[in-house]
Amino acid sequence: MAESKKTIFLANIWKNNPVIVQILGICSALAVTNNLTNTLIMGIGLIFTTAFSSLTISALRRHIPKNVRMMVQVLIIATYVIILDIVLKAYLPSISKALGPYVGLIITNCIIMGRAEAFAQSHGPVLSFIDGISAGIGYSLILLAVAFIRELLGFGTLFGLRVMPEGFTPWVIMIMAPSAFFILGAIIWIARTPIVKKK
Amino acid sequence: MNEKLYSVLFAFILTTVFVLCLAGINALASGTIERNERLEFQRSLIYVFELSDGADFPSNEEVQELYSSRIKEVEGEQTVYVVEKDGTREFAFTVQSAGLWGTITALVAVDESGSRITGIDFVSHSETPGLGGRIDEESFKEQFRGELVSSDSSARVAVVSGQDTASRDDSKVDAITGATRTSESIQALLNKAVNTVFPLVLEVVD
Repeated sequence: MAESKKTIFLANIWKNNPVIVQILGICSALAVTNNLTNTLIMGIGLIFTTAFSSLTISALRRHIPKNVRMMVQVLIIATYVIILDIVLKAYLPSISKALGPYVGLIITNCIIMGRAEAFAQSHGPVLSFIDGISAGIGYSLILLAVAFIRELLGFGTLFGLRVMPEGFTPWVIMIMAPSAFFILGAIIWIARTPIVKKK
Repeated sequence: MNEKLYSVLFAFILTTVFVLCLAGINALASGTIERNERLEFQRSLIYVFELSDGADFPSNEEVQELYSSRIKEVEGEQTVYVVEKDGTREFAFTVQSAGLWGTITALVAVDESGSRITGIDFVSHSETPGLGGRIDEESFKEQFRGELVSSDSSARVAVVSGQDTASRDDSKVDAITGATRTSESIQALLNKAVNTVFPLVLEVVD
């Protein structure tokens, strides 16, 4: 196969980033980014789910009948999300409580299905696993950037630790979903300018 | 036909395998999850009764120790948790009420006569994180400590904005900015606690 592991890895993080280039996973990008801790756990959850569902789908790809392909993919993704949910509940109860319904909603994240369809379906398990991990990391990095701005201005804290001076007035808009639209829009604009120029 | 049969069989077998895997993992973890949840609930009880003096976050052992030594559980139509403090009793019980996105389950503690709320904690809710989700914050929950219960059955403790709420005797607490609906839900939840659940509690403990 022509694509090396390194190029696949880097493409997903930058040139083909799922959030800023493919504009996938926007729902959760708006929902969980008002504090860094939740965003980080969500990112790790997505990396885990994308990596393992890509691996499984790729390993089974020669046996999956074409006409029930999508159903099988959703089944595999859902299985990993439920595993994640159980593990969080058992070992990290406070984080599971904070994330609430968002863990279950990883199932609906289009990045996982997107990687399964676009990559795992036609590549080997190892490459698919790397592709899944890097797509997850690409997603997490952008979300962390959004969360950094939102938590800093919305609460005056980073990872729950106060960094802004006492007199700082939090920007309530930053806590609410609309601010994520503005910040994400700005990040996409800034990040894509050099990519578009090159073309 | 063969291909169709293969698809159906494949989907069937794969589903069975995955479901079995999940059932196994669930069975392995359910003990831990149950223990966590029970501990979390006991921690809430200790918080609403203010039993851990000093320590904001009592360790798991302290929680179990305090729970078994101080709190008495009375089963009935409504499970009531009773604590004796300086000769008087305090009751805690769970109340469920509709929130903005889903049910809010709260643990409410009141004094013997039901005239004052002594503590509140939210066991589970699905309010918007950062907005309604802030009902979990100490600064919100602490407002209810010792708050007088008003005789107005539609606002036992009013959750208001832009008013002076500092006094413990005005039956008013501050709402959360940007979370009007959640704040209204909390007021409704306390009305339910005092109007419907508290009479049941008295039946159970007497």
